[in-house]
Amino acid sequence: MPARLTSRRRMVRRIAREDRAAQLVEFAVALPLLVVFVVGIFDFSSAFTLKQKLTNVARDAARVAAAGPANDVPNSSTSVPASVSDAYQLISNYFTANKINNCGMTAASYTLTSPASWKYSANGSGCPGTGLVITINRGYYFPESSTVQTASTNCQAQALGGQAAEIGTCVSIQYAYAWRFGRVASLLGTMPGLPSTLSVVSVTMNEN
Amino acid sequence: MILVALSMVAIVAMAALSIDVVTLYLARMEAQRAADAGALAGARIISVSGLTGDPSDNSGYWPQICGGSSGTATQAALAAAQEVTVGSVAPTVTVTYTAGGTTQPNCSGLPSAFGVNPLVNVQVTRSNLPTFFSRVWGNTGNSVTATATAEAYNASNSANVGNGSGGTIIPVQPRCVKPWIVPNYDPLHPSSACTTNCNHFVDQSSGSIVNSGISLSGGSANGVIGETFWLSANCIHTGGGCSFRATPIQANLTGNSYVNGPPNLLYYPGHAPSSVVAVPSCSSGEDLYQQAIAGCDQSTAYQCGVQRMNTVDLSENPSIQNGDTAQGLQCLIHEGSTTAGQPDGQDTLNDSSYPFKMLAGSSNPLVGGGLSNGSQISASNSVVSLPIYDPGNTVNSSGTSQVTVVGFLQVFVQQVDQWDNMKVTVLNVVGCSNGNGQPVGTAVAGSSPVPVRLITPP
Repeated sequence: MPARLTSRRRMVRRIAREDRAAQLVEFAVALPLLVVFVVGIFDFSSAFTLKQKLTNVARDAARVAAAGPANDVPNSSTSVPASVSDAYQLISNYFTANKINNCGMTAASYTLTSPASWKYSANGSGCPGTGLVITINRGYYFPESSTVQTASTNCQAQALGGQAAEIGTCVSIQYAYAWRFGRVASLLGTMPGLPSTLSVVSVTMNEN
Repeated sequence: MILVALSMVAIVAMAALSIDVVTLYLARMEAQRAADAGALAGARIISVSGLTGDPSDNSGYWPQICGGSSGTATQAALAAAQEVTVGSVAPTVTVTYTAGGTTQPNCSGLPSAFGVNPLVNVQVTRSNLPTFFSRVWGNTGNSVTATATAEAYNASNSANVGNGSGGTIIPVQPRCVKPWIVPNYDPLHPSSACTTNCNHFVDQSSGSIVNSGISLSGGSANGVIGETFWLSANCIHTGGGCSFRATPIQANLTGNSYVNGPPNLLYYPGHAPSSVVAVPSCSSGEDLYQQAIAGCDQSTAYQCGVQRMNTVDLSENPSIQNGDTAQGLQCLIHEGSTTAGQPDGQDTLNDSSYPFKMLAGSSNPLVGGGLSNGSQISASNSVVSLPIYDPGNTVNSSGTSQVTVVGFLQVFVQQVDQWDNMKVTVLNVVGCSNGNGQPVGTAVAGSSPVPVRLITPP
């Protein structure tokens, strides 16, 4: 009896001193935080990387189009000017080289949205939401001097307010991004408002 | 708990490092993009303004382009750089000009190299960037700065000015050059008929502009930039090929009912390329010579200063009633009818004051999209480049002949008439040597004879 009692007492004492359970509880509390951190790092870094790539290619495409001939810009809606086709091709090649899903976009996925603005869009190949939308406006213009105006994602020309028009090329790329982070962050009870697309806009003045 | 608290500090520090530093990197890249766009826009305005056609600023017009905050190039650089946001807001932009090691916000008073090789610097600063985690230890208001430098380059006499004395001329090779090969005769100096006694556009040994300076209202009071004259083919206007209206080729031909002016200048048709890109739909499927006028001939290399490099082709006849030149130009500049009152829909040039203003015509494709008729515009399809050849080269009376291109004209085409005569205003003149002092190195390609490009700041 006494021996049994002592051993039971010892066991209770041991359990009371045991911290494995406490570790378990701590881990359960910390797990969502940890997952949020890991997924957050993963998700945000790939979003940043993608945005950086899109920024690069938008700038290059705008430069290529702006340096190209503008003779054929008032073209029919059934074909694109050589300079727009060059810019599209540059973006397309960049996507392939950097292994970015182009959402099944082809050189024929365009519509003419204003006299000199071509909009390519595609949302196939497993792309979420609106997929990939590329707008190339060869007749984008902005006032020479006035209060600051920045280009919008649809590359709509600016109001001139009587100023001289600086004619340029605007390239906008909108890429739908599937955030994994939003769902994970909701584990913590908050749902951050993340943008559903990454958008970049680039403007370069036309050379001719 | 102590461990968690300690590790939280480490974790927040890591988050700060990754998120905040990446924000900085992204903003830095966006600032660079803004600076690049701004510098290119400023250089482009300098290029098309004809400023390099007055390399010593004899006309005193430089300040209107780059004389501080009111200059058009400064304004364009500012507006272009602020088109893109840096960290969601428009950045602060500073524009300066450089020549010969001096940098200042006002280009007047810069060394003479500015007249040949103007440099535009744009500095973009975005301050008060948001921080997300590092504000924990009070780090807020980061700022990023990026600079870009763009140059416009006029090859004229650049061996002696732009590169310092004893340098070499680097040739230029503009794209989309029209097949109108004009002799090196300035039709307004003198404005009477002349052949070999005409003044030249460009000096054939040094490449410098002979009558440098900017004139208003189509005259020639101050210099060659702004001169307005008629361009007519040196071809009898009937028949298949080309037989000469004047031998030798001349400026200010009189007594020919199909040639307007004087002032006028005869030209030879260039060799039509095998293929043309960027042809507007109104000229697609037409004769290649016409396509080269309406579209962009990217296969013919008009290379400045290389001996007998380019081809005059008299089997082309650019000048029959409403011929290839008239049709191609109407298509290019959107001119309605060659016989209607002018302008008939095409863009116009107001050259009564400096800087010259290009104004959108009613048929400008952008006018249909919200731009109002008559708005001042920075680019027009009416601006074209053409080669100047050495009139010492003999041109055979039929077939093809090789000539040396000694420079380029950039002109604004005001109108074309039914006899294929074009009324043009000179926007830029570029000269390179005739081959005695051969240009050296790879030609600088560009959309204009005064090309612009981004460079590493010297």
